[in-house]
Amino acid sequence: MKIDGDDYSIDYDSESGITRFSGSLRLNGTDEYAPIAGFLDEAHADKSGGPSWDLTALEFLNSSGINMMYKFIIGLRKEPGVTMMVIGSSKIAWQAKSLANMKKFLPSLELNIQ
Amino acid sequence: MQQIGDYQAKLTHDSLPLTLHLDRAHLNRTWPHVGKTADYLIEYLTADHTEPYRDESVSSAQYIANELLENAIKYATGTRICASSGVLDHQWIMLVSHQADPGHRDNLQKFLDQLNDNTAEEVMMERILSNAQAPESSGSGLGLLTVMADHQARLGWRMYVDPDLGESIDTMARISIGKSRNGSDPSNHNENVL
Repeated sequence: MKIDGDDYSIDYDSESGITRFSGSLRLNGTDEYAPIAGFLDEAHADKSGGPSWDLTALEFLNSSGINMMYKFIIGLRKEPGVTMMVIGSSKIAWQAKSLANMKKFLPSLELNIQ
Repeated sequence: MQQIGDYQAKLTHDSLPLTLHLDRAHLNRTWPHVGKTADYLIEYLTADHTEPYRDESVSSAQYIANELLENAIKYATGTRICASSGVLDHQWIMLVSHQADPGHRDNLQKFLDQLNDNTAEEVMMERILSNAQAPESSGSGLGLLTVMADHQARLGWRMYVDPDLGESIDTMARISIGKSRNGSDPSNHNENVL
């Protein structure tokens, strides 16, 4: 499965179960992020064992996009025992600054900052 | 005129002023230009310096520029948005000006009231949780909060009546950027201060 925009691409590999984000995501508010939120839900439903996101090629994400990711992660709290892995990059500012917040909402989240 | 937070209008002489003229009937066409404008402001900032600024600072400046311009597009009532960016005394400063209705001013005041008794990080965490419980909400309200809590920006506002444009608002953000000659950073403010 894949979803593409002018400046971004999100690719779910059903074999590895990893969703890879790349490019720059600066959509306008929750409405424009709805298709991506739906895509992430579909990928989660397809993969057993919890979602895995590779964000290392996602160079820019605006606050609406960060909010979408937080919403997804908070939603996982309704699934006891679910595990989630997020791979990020310390070289990308929004990731270095904001990814650690994800663990505050889902302490079991495995955060791998490279 | 009302001034709130850590507002200072002074910018360096080599700051870059830009003006965006909005076509309100086709704002969806304008939106992609917001990011490109923010990127250009930061490219200009980094284009001509013998001692490069820290990558982390530049990336934070890019994030902040984008959020301030996105907010301006969302809340400006007129058709003109003015943005300036520059460095002064080891601080990157961005100023965004536009017309605003009194309702926006009141909402801003409520936002600031929340920060009187709580840190920006505390308010941001509460906002994220409430957003997750309100799927119908179209806005996250996280822009300024992430700028303050995650990127340690100092923010200030000036509200005034422009003789030509009427009710207007200036939003200013600044962060520490670059290094002094001895390698230390004399203006390294990490606290969440308005």
